[in-house]
Amino acid sequence: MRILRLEEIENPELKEIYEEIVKRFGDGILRSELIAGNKLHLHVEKGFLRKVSSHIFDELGAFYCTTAGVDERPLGGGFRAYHIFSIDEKNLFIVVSAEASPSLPRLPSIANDVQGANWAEREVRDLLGIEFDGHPDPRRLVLPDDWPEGVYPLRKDFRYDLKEVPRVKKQYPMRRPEAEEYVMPIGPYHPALHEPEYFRLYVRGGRVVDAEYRGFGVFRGVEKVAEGRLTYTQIPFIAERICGICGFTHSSCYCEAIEEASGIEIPERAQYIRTIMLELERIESHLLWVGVACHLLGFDTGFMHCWRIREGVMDLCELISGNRKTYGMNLVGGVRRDITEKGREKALEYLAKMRKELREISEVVSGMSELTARIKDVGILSKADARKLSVVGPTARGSGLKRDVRVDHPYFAYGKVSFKIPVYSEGDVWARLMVRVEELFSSADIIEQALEGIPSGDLMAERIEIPVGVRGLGVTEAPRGENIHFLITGAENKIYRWKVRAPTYNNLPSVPIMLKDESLADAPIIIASIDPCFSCTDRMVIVDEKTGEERVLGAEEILRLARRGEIR
Amino acid sequence: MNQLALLIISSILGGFLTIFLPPLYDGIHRKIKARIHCRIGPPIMQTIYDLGKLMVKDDIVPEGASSLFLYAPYLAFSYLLFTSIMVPMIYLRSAIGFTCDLILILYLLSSSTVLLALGGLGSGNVFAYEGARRELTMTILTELAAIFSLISIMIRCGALRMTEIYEKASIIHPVPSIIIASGVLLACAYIEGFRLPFELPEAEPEISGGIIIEYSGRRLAAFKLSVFMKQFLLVALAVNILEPWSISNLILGLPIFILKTFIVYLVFAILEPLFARFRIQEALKSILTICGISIISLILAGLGV
Repeated sequence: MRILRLEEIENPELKEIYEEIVKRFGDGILRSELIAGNKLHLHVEKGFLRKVSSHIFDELGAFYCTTAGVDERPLGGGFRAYHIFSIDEKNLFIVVSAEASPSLPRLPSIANDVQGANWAEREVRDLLGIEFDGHPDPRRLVLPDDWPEGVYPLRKDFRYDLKEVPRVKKQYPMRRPEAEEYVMPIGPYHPALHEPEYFRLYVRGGRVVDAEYRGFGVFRGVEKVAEGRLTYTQIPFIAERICGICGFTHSSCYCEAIEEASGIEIPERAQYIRTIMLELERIESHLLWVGVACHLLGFDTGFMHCWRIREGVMDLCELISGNRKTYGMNLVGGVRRDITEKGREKALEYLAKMRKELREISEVVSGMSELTARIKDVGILSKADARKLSVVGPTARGSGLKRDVRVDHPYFAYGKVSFKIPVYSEGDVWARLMVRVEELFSSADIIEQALEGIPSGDLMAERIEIPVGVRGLGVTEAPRGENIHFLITGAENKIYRWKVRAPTYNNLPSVPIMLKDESLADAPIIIASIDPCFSCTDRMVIVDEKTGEERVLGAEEILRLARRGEIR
Repeated sequence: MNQLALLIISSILGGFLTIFLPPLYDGIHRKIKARIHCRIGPPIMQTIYDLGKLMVKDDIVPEGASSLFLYAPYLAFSYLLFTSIMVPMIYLRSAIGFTCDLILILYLLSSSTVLLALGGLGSGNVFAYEGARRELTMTILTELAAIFSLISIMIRCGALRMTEIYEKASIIHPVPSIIIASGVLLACAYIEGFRLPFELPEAEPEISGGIIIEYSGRRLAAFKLSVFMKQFLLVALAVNILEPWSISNLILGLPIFILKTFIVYLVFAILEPLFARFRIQEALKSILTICGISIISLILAGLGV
């Protein structure tokens, strides 16, 4: 319980920021500490939470990352919410937290000052039961509609393997269509979505006037399972399975967080290998997205050729990691497989060929006039809105925000390679497409430099000891943007709290803004333009709609259900 | 007597060709498209297998669907089968032929389009509603282009009967007005066949199948077949006006007709993979251009060129 003295901070910029905060809110700061040289943790008095947060967000120009709720009752506290902010241009993170009492957990909401916190606070409320006073939209977010009130799955007294939860009958309060409006459902099952999500579009005369989103239909409870029954070394493998497209960035991010928390220095060679795999994953992911975008616009030729090229990238991944996807390379403290000299040469050879193919396909896609005509000036997200919601990745860079974790907060070998970050200011679907297309070449540059400059050495750190009760914050740039893992280490080789914030979580709230006043025909490509990764976003709770009732549907019943014609 | 037998055989053959050739061409279309995509693609017979499979599948009717939904595909199919008897394909005369039969053919073709759109509307599904809206908007302009080009052919040939038109055309052709008019007809056939970039009424990634979303089983088969047949009949009309000399040839008529239509479908198949889907505004703009071209053919025909 102590307050950081100014002399303890080496970074002059952070010193200045800290000095200002202490001067203005000195009484409200109960405790402060500095982790890994650039992560300032401030534990503030409840009443100061809003003031400190809006100071950091508005006056310091920080972006909002996420909010992690933690049940700290077993540690002798109450419930605590950690609001995480990032100051990109100074490579700093500020974590503001406040404690709510265990008996009546209430905290002031910051969602009115920091719009991006809207979802994260609702999630904390759903899972931990912290009520946020003054929240602008206190509807349920992640829990299903039939989940009973007062049962909070991420609390420590909720068993991770609990199966029987009584169900209630309740419907999600969606807005009713006004006169002359009709509702066009996109989802839960729609050919344009590859995962079950529900966008409810309110349409008037062929134009979208409003949109609502209800997601989180496929909860898997990754965090609860990790906290409940997995050990540190097992988690990278479940982390990689959070997403089928960008899994490696999750396992890397987890490892980064835990390595930082316990001060593990991983060998340089392992850092380079992680960088190479992360960029290969980005190429795979972006090619997949460009293909899907072509398909949504009806240009199946582009779709098929993108995926043909992607096939080659996956061969390269197989050459290095042994797997086409879900590489399984990461361990806490290093990587499991080396890149052999033969593999390195082959990879460089292949890279040259891939670059040529990438150029061909990107020229075709960006030069096709009817394709670009359909995505220019469509689905616009203004820079101001992008900043307000703190969107990340290509979505932010397409709206003129120059933010990329690889440059802002360099990790692994990214500080040692040079590459270009494309930024477009148009904010439309076209800009987001161009950002991704150009990033393909940046990634190829990074891989090439990394393969050429890879130092020899070990793959694993020599000493791996994880202390109890320390906080770690891992940040990586996933193909879709900033990916954040916040964790608190625990006893018995287990993690106490592991919070995952995938990039789509911050990008999805911008979709209803993009959809407004657009024609219905453009809705699918607009939704797809943020490259939504629903499986990443829906990673929370062990809840399956059917677990309450253990019965097997017979063929007759499935037929009957299918014939009822639910989407009407 | 001999002539009557010929008439009957040619009519039956015409109907047969109209039902079986387009799915076969569609199979070839899918194969060519797949090759351009760098895929292996389905076997050429796949579309015929698909239709056969649909014939024996359960029909699922959504609650609250109107009777239009129930009967429109069958009605459209029978309209088009009847039209196939009236359109001379491999023999100069058709079993049902009278003055002004061209008008009736046109009427039947456009009614079938409207019927299919109404069938979609009758399902009560919002996606089908959106698809039907797009289909009807496009059809109005497409039919206009088709009517203009047919009128210019009538004017240039100075006849209203299909048989007479072909006879006249084989004497006066090739002339610019008829070439342009048949070109417009082929373009209309392309648009009416739900091909990219005009595939808006179905637009699977946008409105998940649009007007066909609620159809299944036999009705879906009838629906798909109707679309194929309508396109084929327009193509048959156009190619026979463009190349009228072989129709009266009893031996070469059939193979040359198949060759002509095959070439047209080949061009269609190579065209489709090059496009992305239009938005309705862009689609209407390009159909308007086609309308403009048909008016040019009308003027040329009036001038006697």
